[in-house]
Amino acid sequence: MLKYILKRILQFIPVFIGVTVILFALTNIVPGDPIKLIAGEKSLAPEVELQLRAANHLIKVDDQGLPIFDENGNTIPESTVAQYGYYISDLLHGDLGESYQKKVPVLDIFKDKYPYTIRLAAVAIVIEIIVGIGAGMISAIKRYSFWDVLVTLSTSILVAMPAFWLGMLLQLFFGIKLKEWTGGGFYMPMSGAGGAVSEFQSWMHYILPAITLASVSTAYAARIMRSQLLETLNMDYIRTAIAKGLNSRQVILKHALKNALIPVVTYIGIDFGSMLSGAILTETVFNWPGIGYEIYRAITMRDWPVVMGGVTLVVVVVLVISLIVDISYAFLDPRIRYGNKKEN
Amino acid sequence: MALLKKGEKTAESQELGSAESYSGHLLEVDNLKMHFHTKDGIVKAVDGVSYTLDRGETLGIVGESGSGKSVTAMTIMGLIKMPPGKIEGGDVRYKGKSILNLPEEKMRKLRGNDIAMIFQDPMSSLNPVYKIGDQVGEGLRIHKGYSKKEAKEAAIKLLDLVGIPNPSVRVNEYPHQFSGGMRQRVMIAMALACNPDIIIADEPTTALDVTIQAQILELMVEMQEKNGNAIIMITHDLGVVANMADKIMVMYAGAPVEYGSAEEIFYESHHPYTWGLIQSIPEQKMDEKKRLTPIKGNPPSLVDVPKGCSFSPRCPYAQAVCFDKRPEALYVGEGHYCTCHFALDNDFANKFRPKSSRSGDTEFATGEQEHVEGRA
Repeated sequence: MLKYILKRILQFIPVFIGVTVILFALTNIVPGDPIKLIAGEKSLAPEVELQLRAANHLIKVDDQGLPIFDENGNTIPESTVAQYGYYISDLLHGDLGESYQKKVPVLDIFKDKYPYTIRLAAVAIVIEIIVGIGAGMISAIKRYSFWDVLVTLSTSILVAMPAFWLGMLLQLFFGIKLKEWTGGGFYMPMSGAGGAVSEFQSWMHYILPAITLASVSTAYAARIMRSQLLETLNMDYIRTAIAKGLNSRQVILKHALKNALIPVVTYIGIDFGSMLSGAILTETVFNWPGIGYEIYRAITMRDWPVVMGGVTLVVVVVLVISLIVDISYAFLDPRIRYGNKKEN
Repeated sequence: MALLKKGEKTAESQELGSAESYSGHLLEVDNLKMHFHTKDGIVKAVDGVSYTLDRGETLGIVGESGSGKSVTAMTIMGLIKMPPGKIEGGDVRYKGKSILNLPEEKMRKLRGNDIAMIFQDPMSSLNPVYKIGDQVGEGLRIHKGYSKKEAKEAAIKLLDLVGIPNPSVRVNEYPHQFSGGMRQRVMIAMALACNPDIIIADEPTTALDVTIQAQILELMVEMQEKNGNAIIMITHDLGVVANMADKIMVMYAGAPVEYGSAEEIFYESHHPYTWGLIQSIPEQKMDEKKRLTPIKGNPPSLVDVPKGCSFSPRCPYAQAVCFDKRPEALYVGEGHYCTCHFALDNDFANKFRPKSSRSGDTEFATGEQEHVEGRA
């Protein structure tokens, strides 16, 4: 097992290199001088511009970090490979650069924003696990009943409904209309996580965005759960369990569920990874101060250090989550025991 | 068996009748009819099956695929989904009491505890995500109230009993770590766990190698001698029950065609279908190449069984009456009946009955090895 984990972590290296190369290439291909982006509307004094170019490794510098000039007195552009080298070296030192627009270290931006994304993802995944697995189970156990039809129908609708539109509808009903109907007595907060007075109130802010974020994947989770459980209930070992004298609750909860959960756990695990990568649509609709919204802002503003830093962070998170998902298989399915091939 | 003192049963099973309260047979199946209502019509999977079973006895139920052997067993266990299944008549009595209409809760107390079942495919009949020990001991936990620890200890003893080496280690392993034969031993251990009165084995050796088949059959006989349970052995291979069954029922198209003691079926059979089955057992002659004699044709669709004798389209001796009239069960001897119009015609039987010995009269299927050596 330990060997397997180590192997998987070593596999991170090529993925990491690949991602950084692509990111670096993309930001270099996109037209536009980074120094102009940093400067924004203002015009820079030549000395300042020179200094900035040197600091951003755009021109060759000497040991003191001063620009080197050729015989004509011009600066020498740094090669792309060397630029990539500086970028990686900074990255490994935990330096993601500085935002062009915000003039603060990228790492600080994400330190500030990431907790909101994580908490939102956590609430959403709890909804997905409870509602998705629960609805899927009810639907499978009470097959062809009213509840089954309800679940199948509502999951179809949720899958077809764009998340941002669902978010807007929720805001309209639970934020605006409910407030009107109850005379302002009860309503759901519909934007941002700030401005909360109490702990409870701050958690209330998570409900609508989390439902929006979880909606589509909850529907998928319910569908996977339903079909897996139905398939498992047809297995021979289920017949064995019934023939042993177990009641239907024991048969379903003990013998069928664990087998049926394996693909569902895969799906939810991967989904959690993508939620942690920030939900651009949900965060935008709810004006949520998470990383999805921040990356979206950075892309539109061509704030490359933020884009690169954010994507790198997201890649690392997704890699780690997928490793955790793979390890969790081993606990659900004894046929998967990484590393030891003891079979006969 | 050693794990449980004789007569140690739960209160619920005593309610169903202890040894004193019934005088007849352990299990009586009386004209049982199980039909399936499907889109294509009514499938008469079991259409009038009767037999009795006593303690320590082995009944072999033999027939082709789709002859209703398994459905009979599943009906007894209450494992048929209803609908589409529907009991159209008849009764199943365990210790003198009908169990067909028992409420599900009482039926559960019976399953695994009084009547246990061994299934055909040991590869898929064990739950892949639970330890062998949990699965073997599970019956004891639900029926006898064993603690987790007690159940595990009992499972180790059971695994040892069915000949699994190193049981205290194997008990913690998972099904995928066992070979097919070992898994079937596990299934047997599981069936034996609660010391049931009846073990129904549904083609327990079909999925196994020939050499392993013999071991499993031997094990079942050995366990029966130790525990005195009755066995219903369902198979499509007469050879399998040749040396172990006391009584044999030959089934065709959902109904018995011949029923009698093993001797009677093998040496004094009266039904052409039984003859066909006997002829299709490979003989163990080394020096002589002989073709097997198959029964030509296919079994009828159970939606549309022929009007007369269900075997008539395939029967080489069929007369006009066979296509017209459904034969009654005719007793050719005490407890030996045959559903053929010519069952009582001894000349007919003597003329066409194949001269056949039981397959592997010496011991179980050891012939396979000799056969290989003979060729070499």
